[in-house]
Order: sequence, then C-alpha cells, then structure tokens
Amino acid sequence: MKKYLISSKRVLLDVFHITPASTILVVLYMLFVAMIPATLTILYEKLFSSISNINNNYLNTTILIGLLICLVYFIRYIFQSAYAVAMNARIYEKVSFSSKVTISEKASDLNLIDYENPSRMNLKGIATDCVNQSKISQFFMNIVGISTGLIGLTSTTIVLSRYSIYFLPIVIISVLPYLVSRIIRGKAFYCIREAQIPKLRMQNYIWSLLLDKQSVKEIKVMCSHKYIGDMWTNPRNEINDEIWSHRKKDSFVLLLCDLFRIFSYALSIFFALILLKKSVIGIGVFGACISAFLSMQQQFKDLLVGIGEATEQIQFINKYYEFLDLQVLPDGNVVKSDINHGINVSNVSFAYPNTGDVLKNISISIEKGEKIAIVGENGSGKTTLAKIILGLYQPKDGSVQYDDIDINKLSKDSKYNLLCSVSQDFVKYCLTYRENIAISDTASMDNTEKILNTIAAVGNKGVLEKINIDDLLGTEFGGMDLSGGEWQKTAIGRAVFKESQLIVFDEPTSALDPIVESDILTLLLNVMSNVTSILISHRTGVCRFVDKIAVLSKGELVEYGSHQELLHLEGYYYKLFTEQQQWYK
Amino acid sequence: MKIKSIVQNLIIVMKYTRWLFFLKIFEVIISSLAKPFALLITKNVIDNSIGYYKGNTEIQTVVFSVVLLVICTFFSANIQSLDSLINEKMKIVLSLNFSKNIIQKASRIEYACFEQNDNQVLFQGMGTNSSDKIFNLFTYLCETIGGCLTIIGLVLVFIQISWWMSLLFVLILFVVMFFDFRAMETMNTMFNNQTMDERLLSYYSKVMEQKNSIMELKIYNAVGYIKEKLNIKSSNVVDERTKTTIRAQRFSFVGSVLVLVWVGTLITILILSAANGKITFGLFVSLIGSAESVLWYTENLSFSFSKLSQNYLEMKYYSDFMDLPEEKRKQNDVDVSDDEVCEVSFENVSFTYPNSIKPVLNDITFSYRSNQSLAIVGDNGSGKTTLIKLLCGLYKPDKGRITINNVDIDELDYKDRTRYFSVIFQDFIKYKLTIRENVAISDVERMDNDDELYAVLDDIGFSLENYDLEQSIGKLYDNGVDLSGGQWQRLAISRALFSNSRFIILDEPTAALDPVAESNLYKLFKKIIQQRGYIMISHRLASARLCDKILVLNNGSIIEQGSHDELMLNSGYYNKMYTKQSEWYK
Repeated sequence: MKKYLISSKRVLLDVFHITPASTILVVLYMLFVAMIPATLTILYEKLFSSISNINNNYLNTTILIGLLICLVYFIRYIFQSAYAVAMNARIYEKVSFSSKVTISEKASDLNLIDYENPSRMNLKGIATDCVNQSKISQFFMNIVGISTGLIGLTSTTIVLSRYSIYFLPIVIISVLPYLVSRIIRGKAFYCIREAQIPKLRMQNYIWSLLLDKQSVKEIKVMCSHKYIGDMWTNPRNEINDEIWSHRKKDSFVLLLCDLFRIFSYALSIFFALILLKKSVIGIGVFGACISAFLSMQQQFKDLLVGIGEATEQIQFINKYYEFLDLQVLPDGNVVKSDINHGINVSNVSFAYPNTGDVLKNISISIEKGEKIAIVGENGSGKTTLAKIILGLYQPKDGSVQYDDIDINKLSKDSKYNLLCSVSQDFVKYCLTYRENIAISDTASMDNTEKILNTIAAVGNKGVLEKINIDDLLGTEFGGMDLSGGEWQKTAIGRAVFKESQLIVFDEPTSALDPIVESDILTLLLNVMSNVTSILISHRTGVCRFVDKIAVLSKGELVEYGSHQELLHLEGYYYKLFTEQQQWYK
Repeated sequence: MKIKSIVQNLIIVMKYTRWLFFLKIFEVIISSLAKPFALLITKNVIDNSIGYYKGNTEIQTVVFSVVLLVICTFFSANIQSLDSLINEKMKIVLSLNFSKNIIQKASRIEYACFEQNDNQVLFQGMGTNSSDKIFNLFTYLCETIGGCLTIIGLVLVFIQISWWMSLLFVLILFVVMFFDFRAMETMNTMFNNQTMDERLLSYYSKVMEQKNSIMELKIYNAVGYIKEKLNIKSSNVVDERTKTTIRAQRFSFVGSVLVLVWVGTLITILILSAANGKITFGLFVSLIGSAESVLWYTENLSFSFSKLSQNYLEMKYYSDFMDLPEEKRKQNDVDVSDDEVCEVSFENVSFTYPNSIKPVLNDITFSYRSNQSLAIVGDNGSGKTTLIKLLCGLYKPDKGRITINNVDIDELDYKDRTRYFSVIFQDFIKYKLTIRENVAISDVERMDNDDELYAVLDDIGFSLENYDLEQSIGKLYDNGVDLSGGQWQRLAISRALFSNSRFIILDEPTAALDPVAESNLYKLFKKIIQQRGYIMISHRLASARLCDKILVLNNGSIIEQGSHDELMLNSGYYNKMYTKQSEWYK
C-alpha cells in the first residue's frame, strides 16, 4: 500500500513537473465537472418547486433559474475545449514523449552488464510498455478523476441529505458491492495478463519471423510455414481461452453488480415516493432527486471504473519506477588525460549473470605503445576480456589498472576519453556521413578538415565521390547505403578520428571479400602502429605483425608472448597458426 | 474509400463471426434505443408518482412504471456486462478464423514483396494482431451507429415539444459532424506528416537502448549527443501536436457552442410550456434532465465518429496485404528423374532486382552435378547470394532458365525444391526456440528423431555437454541461454545437414568460426561431399580450394571457372585474391 502511495505521489509530481499549467487546468476542470450534479440538484429543486406551484408572478424567477442552468452548461463546455487541449496534447502526448525520453536516458545510463541480465531487460520491457500504452497519463487522469469524483459525490450526498437524512443509507448501500468487485476484477485481469506476457512475447516474435524479409527467405526455402504458423496460433488460442474463461466470470460479476445497482435505483425512487407521500419532501425535491440518483450512480460508476483501472495501471507504474531506480555504478573522480606507462590486468575473473566463470584469473600487462592480439576459439572469452579492459564490464575478482590507477576510480568521461573500440557489430548510424565519423569526438563535429583527413586516412575517399559529407547514410531514412568494406572503414575512421590512447579492434573483418579484407587488415595494422592497441581476430595471419599475442582457451590465458616465441613453444598458438597456414601452402 | 473500407469491415466481421455479428447488432439497436425510451418512462414514473401523491393514481400503476424504468435502464446503460461478453467472444472467434487466413496469405506472398520497403511499412501498420484492429474498427462502427440511433430517438421525443426544435437539432448535428470531421482531418494530416519524425525518434531511442550501440556511444562519450537530438526532436513533435490540437479544437468549439445555444432555447421553451401547462410536470422533469444527455450523446457520437475516421485506414492495410501478389501455384506434378546424380544447370540466366536498373546477374551459364563440390567466390556485391536466391526459387530469372535434371525449377514448388536444396544464408535465422527446433526446422516431419539430431550435432561439433535438445535459446525465456556467433553458425549448419536434400548450400558458413573449428568444418565438408552435392559461397579462399569447381563472379558475370589449380595457373582475378590472402601466412 505504501508503495502505491509513493508511486501515486511520484506520478502526480512528475506530471506536474512536465506540464504544470495543464495539470492545474485539468484538475480545476474535473473538479468543476464533479460539482455539477450537486449544483444542478439545487437548481432543479428550485426550478421544479416553482414550476409545480406556478403562477405568473414566479415566471421570471423560473426563467432566471433556467438561465442559471444554461450558464452551468455553458461554462462547462467552454472550459471543456481548453481541457481537451490540455489533456490530449499535454497530459497524454507530452507526458508520453518525455517518459519515452526518460526511459531511453535511463537505458543508456545502465551498466552494460545489465543488458546481459534477462530479469533487468524484462523490467525494461515492462517499463517501455507502460510508457507506450500511456499508462502514466491514464493513471494521472484516474487519480484526479477519483479524487474529484469523491468530492462530487460527497457534495451531492450532502445536498440530498439536507432534504432528508434518509437518503444517506440508500446511497451507501448501492455502492459497496460494486466497489469490492471492481478491485477484485482489476487485479485478476492484471494477473492473467502478466502471466500471459511470455506467451505474447513469443507470439510477437513468431509473427515477426513470418513477415521479416530475412527470415521469410529461409522459411520459404525450408517450407516451414506450417510449423511456424502453428507456433503463432497455438499460444494465441491458449491466451484466448484464458481470457474467455476470465471474461465469463467477470461478466457475471458485472451483471450482478448492475442488477444490484438498478435495484437500488428503483428502491431509491420508491423511497423518495414514500417521503413525498408523507410530505417529508416536496414535489420539487422529488423531481430533482430522480435525476440526482442517476448522475450519482454514473459518478459512482466512473469512480469505481477509475479505481479498477488505477489498480491495474499502478502495477505497471511500479515497474516503471523500479526500472528508473535501478542502481548504476557510481562515477569515479580521478581525472586522467594520458596513459603514460601501460595497462595492467591482474587476476581478473568474470562471470555473466546466470553463467559460470567466463574468464579465470587472467593477468596481462600491456606497455604503452604495444600492439597486442588476442586469439582463441569461439567462446574462449576474447571479447569479454576486451570489454573488461575497456572498463565496460566490472571483473568479479581482480582489477584493471591504467598506470597504477584502478579504472573504477577514474571518472567515466575521463576514462572513455582515453580509449576507443571498433567491435564486430559496430553501429551503422543512420545519420550524416559527418556524424558517422565525428560521433567519436562530438566536440570536433564541425572540424570538416579533420573529418576529411580521417576519411582519406582510412581510404574511404571513394564514398565522397558518391555523396556529400552532410548526406545521410543508411536506407532507413532515405540515405545512401555503403558497401560492407566502406562501412568497416567508416567505423575504423571513427576510431582514428578520436585519437585515443588505447584502441581495441574486435573481429573487424569477418564478412569481407579477400581483397577488401587484406586492405583493411593492413589499414588496421597501420592505425595500430602508433598507439597502444588490442586486436581480436580469427585471422592468425595478422599476429605476425603485432608485438604480443594473448592466447585464450576456455577463459584461461594459456600462452602470452611474441609470434616467434609462441611458435617455438609449439603449443596451442602453434596449432592455431599452422592450422590456418596449411590452407595457403 | 472510407465507405468502401467500412463495408469491407462489416463483411469480414459478418463472414467470420456469423450469428454473433447479428447478436451484436441487435444488442446495439436495443441498448441505444432504450436511452430515449427511458426518458418517456421517467416521465410516466414522475407523473404517476405525483398522481399517487395527489391521490389520483393507484400504487400499482406507479409500481408498474418503475418496473418498466428498471428494465429500460438495464437495457440502456447497464447492458455492458452482456456487451463485453459478446465483444470478447467475437474477438476470439474472429482471431481464430481470420488470423488463419492472414497466416496462410503470409505464406503465399511472393518473396520479392518482402524486400520492398513499402511493404515493410504495411506489415508494421498491420501490427501483430490484425484481427483485433479489424474488430476495434467494428466496435467504433457499432458505437457510431448506436449513437445515431440514440439521437434519432431523442429527436423523436423532442417532437412532442416542438417539431422545429427537432429539425434544428438535426441540422446542428450535421454542422457539428462536419466540424468534427474537419478537426479530424487536421489531426490526421499532422499525424501523417509526423510519421517520419516519429520514426526518427524511435531510431534515436533504439540507438540509446541497444547493447552494441550504447556500448559505442559510451566509449565515444557521445550518449549526450544522441540524447540531445532525441530531446530536441521530441519537444518539436510535442509542440507541433499542441498547436495542431488547439487548431483542431477550434472546430469542435464551434460545434459545442451551437449545441449549447440549442439546449438553452430548449430549456426556455420547456419552462414556458410547463408554465402554460402545455406539458406535464413529468415530461418537464425528464426533458430538463435530458438536456445534459443531449450534450453528452452528441459528444459521444463525435468521439466514436472521430475514432472511426481515424481507424478506417486499418482496413486499407488489410486489403493491401491481401492484394499482395502470390506465388504461382504448381499446375501439375512434375516428374524429375531420381537419378543417383543430380545435375543443376544455369542457362544464360540474367536477373535485375525489381525497382532497379542495374542487372545483378548477367548471362550466367554453368552446370554442376551433385557428386561435386562447388565454391562461388567474388567481391561483395558481385551477385553470389543472388545466384543462390534464384536457385532456390525466391526470385525468377528475367532471362534464361535454371534446371534440375533438365526440369525447369520454375515448375517445382518450394516443397519439391526442399528435396534438392537446403540453404543456410549468411543471415540465417537464429530461432529463439529450442535447440531441437533450431535444427529440425529444416525437416519438421523428423522433429522427433532424436538419434539423427544427436548425430548431426555431433558431426558439426556442437557441444551438448551443458544442455539438452529442449534447451531454449534467447532471452524470450527465463531459462534461455545465449549462444556465441560460432555456436549459432554450427547450429545453422546442422540445420542444413539435417534435411535429406541432395544439395547443401552454405553462404559464408565459417565467418564467425575460429581457425580450428574452421579447419574441422572443411574436413567435415569433405566427408559430406561424398554423399551430397555441396555449394558454398566463401571469402575464405582456403575453403574454395577444397572444392572441385570454383566460380569467380565479378559484377554479375562469371569471369573465371575451374579447379583451384587451373585458376591459379590462369593468374587472373582468383590468383590475385588468393595471393593477397595467403601473404598473411608466409
């Protein structure tokens, strides 16, 4: 319960913070609307009383009251236009858009290892759903609706009980069962929905297979349509069955509630009739209370629907805030602008969430300016080791030091200023060519000369014959698509542009044709020649040109030394190298 | 367009849900007519009650009218429980019958359609549950119809007071609808104009939320750069929406004022008629009460109407989807002689992608038998993968023909072709399913054949030490595991091996493998080659060297073909590539 209150308070504050004026406007409007039934009851009572014992003297008063009623409507509908704008464009649109931004910001802030953690990614998924389905705005509207609804109901009840205190019990009796059932309904449905999330996700995934060009190709060729199609249909049927059996029960509850409500409506009319017969109330009150009963019941219903929805929404909202509150590693405070001596990896062990150790007790020291290659089988931990050296992952045991300073003590900005990496799945930004290069050092975004030099240095001038430096790349937004080699050179260009102290290249040439591959390997060695650098590659051929080679096997460092040294050892590296070499003899 | 979509929607819903459709329509009519009817009954209740109070009416009459009111109220506002039940059932029935249709259609669409960007937009528009969207449109339609009926009923009630007021109301209603429509158009135009911006926004978010890109951005200290782009774009979009909403709201405002003026006049007339005794007290009370409902129902009608005009596009997605060209169905069974050795030949095959002018393949002629191995090498973009796509029938050649044992492959369907080819493309599917399914998807009939599954995985060196065949892969499941690139590649190759096809076609099979695994794989291929034909696209010329025949493609033409030794003697392009690569190992 306390959690609910905290989340509610956060939603109110957040929405107010995002769009203060509209928040106030919406609250005022809803308060006004909630008070209308009470106001109208008073006015109707006066109107009906004067009509029922009409004589011409009272006609003016009667018309005056009629005009007052019109005025209430008038204010409401004038006010409503402003409200509609505030609600749609601000409470819904603006809040949704800024929550989306908040989620992206938080996601970019997470520790990289969280991306390997299924439960955290799940949480992120729910938080994203929460925002995409405007749950925050809906919840806000519901809170306001519930609060103002309560005020409205109280006011109408007070007005009615001034005519006769007996109206009070009728009002209360008609609400209670509805309230209880609503709360149960809200939760039960949420539980079903939550239990269905994995199935729904599966369904979405299967659907994407059926229409994605990449997968359709294979599904067609393998004729596996029927199998995949069934995988979509079967969970769908299960989901439907579950929802249906819930709905059946739910509708029954709803039906009982409705019957009860109508019954109490009839009861209240009879009750009013008895009061009328006994002359406790006049004809005016009698007429007024009949419409008051209806609008009160409507208000009750809205209120309870609101509460039901809110209890469902708050589950999402709690997850949303839980995601935003995920811990990130504290930033260090040491600022370092150079690596003067080298990098020291000592006794590093590492495990991903839910896995055994991927790296075991690894120690390497890299001197300033050294070129290192990391080789090993698939899954031997090469990329993981590189990520630890880059400070992207935290080792479980051991430490990584740049010149005797533990990298965790460095401030993030200063740490990342020192280093750079080009990974296997480097990003092909659908931005301009300029941005694709200078994204690695956004402060120099406008330094066209430097960008042009970089493009020339990585041998990518050919691209500039086809497009301008400020043209978009990537077909997604109508830009130009580059060939595999051109993209690769662009990614390497980013690393060159940054002029960092340490560069890591991770499998940079996996899908290139022989001539381009050769070009790029040469280019890489060139780039590496004047900076501390690490190269991960399956092409053991390049190892001849680096200073030292770290050979990993099943997470352990099995050999470490220069090409010649390791060949003499005739160990694991020797096997790797000769295995590849024999194909070219 | 709009009317056509709506009619189409009705037909679909009727076709797939049958009696439920009529039940729903019946329910809509009853519940919407019950609302104005309730007004008349309320009048009776009040008149009778006052009669009872004055001693003119029997208590039974009062009870009778109250019971009527209860029934009427039940049908008007409170039929919801029934309504939601009908809706849910219709939704389920629709999704069962209709989705089957969609899935079947999806399987028949020509492959070329999937590679067109327009169609990708179409698929996105359809969403995951297209039947739900169709049904939602139907509900908006029902609401609009119901709203109209209620208002017609109200108009009839008001005729009792004054016929010209009723007429005026109808006129005003048309004006209101017109303005609402204008408001909708304004909003829809804006939404359409903003689709690009929204795609950009989600692109920026994606870059900030994906593992590989966020890693890069962190290292470049460029998270802030993208964040700023996202923020600026986001607030621009919101500002424009606010402005447009205000503009659109002006239209609705005019409508509201008109209705208000009418309601004001109504109240005045009511008071005057009541004062003159022209109408009973009961009618006066119930109609005064209804003045607000008039506002409310008009508003509701506008709302459902706007929903309707917002969503009718969904139908267009659906009909466009159903109109996508389908593969030609096989006319008659073709007999392909089942010789020990199969021969595939390309005869003067040329091909240009749709919407493109540059031919990808130019006059390709070669033939190849299933007791050989074939390597296709060449630069990126030289047409290697396209050649495979033609061979599998994903595209048809513009000129020339491709045959298997002298039968044009165009006369075979995919099912027939699976007997001959199993293909693993470079971007093969990494099914987030079980290991079993990942392998046996190439021949689902043998899905339960554990022995063969184990054998194939063992051959390829996929270690089952840590998991069994039922292990799920990927983050869709709590217990799902992640595989490395190399493991995936092995799994995909097992998929090709598992099928009993005559040829195995592999596009870049070793890109993510380490040297030892690569080497082992080549040895394995040698073993397979003895039983089956084997075509491989590779940049690792070492693997090409092992094949009996090598095709060298350049700009869509075969520039050299022959064995490794022949090509090396040739000192042409192949020789150049090979020398470049082997330099690293000297």
